[in-house]
Amino acid sequence: MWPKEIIPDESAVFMRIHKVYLNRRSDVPPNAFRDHNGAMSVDWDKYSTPSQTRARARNPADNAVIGMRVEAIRLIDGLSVEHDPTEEGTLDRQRRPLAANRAHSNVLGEKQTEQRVKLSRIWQWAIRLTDPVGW
Amino acid sequence: MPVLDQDTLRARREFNYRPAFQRSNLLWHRPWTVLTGGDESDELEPEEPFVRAYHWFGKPESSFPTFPAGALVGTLRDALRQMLQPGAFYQTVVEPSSPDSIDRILESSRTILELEDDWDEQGASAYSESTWQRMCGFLRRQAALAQQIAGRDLPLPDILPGPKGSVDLHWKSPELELLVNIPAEASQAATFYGDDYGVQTVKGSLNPEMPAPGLVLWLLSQS
Repeated sequence: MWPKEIIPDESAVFMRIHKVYLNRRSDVPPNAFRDHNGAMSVDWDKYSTPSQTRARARNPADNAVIGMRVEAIRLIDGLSVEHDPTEEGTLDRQRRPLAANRAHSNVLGEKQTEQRVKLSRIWQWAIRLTDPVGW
Repeated sequence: MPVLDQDTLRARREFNYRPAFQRSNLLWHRPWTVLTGGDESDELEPEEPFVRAYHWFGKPESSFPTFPAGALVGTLRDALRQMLQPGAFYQTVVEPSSPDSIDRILESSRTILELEDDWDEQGASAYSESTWQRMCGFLRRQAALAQQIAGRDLPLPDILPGPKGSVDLHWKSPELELLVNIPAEASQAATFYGDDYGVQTVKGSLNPEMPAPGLVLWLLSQS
């Protein structure tokens, strides 16, 4: 069983962005920053690369990957970042099985309009959809 | 589009940050708040006997008329009060001068209704016609209001599929960013957050079935 660790501020986390979210400016708008099953799932860069994060999607080719500094997320009012490794066979809140992922972490806290706008200002591309650039 | 140097941009932001009227006069009608880093004494300097229209509307042009401060506050307040009386807005509504552009973006946003449950492969919800219609009504009201009180077109937002079946209206320019969220639940208030990337911030909640003069004025003053 993987221990739950403290994620330092200097770390980064990766998040998949489905192609439907990308706007006409190839930007990631505020609506992409939202909870799924009670939290916004991200992968800690200590245990994941952008490619691994992308590969965990149902259809990896339909997903870009962005990176965010943990400190920048924590500076947004009401948001925190917590490590939440998932073991093989763990169930999510809807009782669906999750794949094993030691990097899995959550951005916790209400994603109101203010938090979503501010999240949409702190990301950087890790993998673009059409032009992977690397982290 | 002309590019402003940093000093001019800073001066403009500072200029726009200083509201032309006393806070209580600006916000008497609203369920929202303006958060700034300044104190009350910043808001209307005693040695400034006149308020120029562009102080609020943000367009420094020599042709703008100058009014005694009290007169302009009174005129604006009376106009807003009249509009906000139940039913009054709907009787006096003026169509925006570019209804085509509003219609165009609303029509193209109908694609949101085609998104099915789990459209982002992470469990996102589908969208209801009623939520989309409330968003349309909200945007049309604000566009009409912009015409009515300032004779200007409302900048066009991006219309985005929001969380939990809600719809987002997103304005983004070099001067400001504003996000308004129309919730899926008709009984819930819409929420909004905006700032000028600096000290001026607006946030709060509003009734999407009503015009929001403060929000429209803030949007126009920054754009």
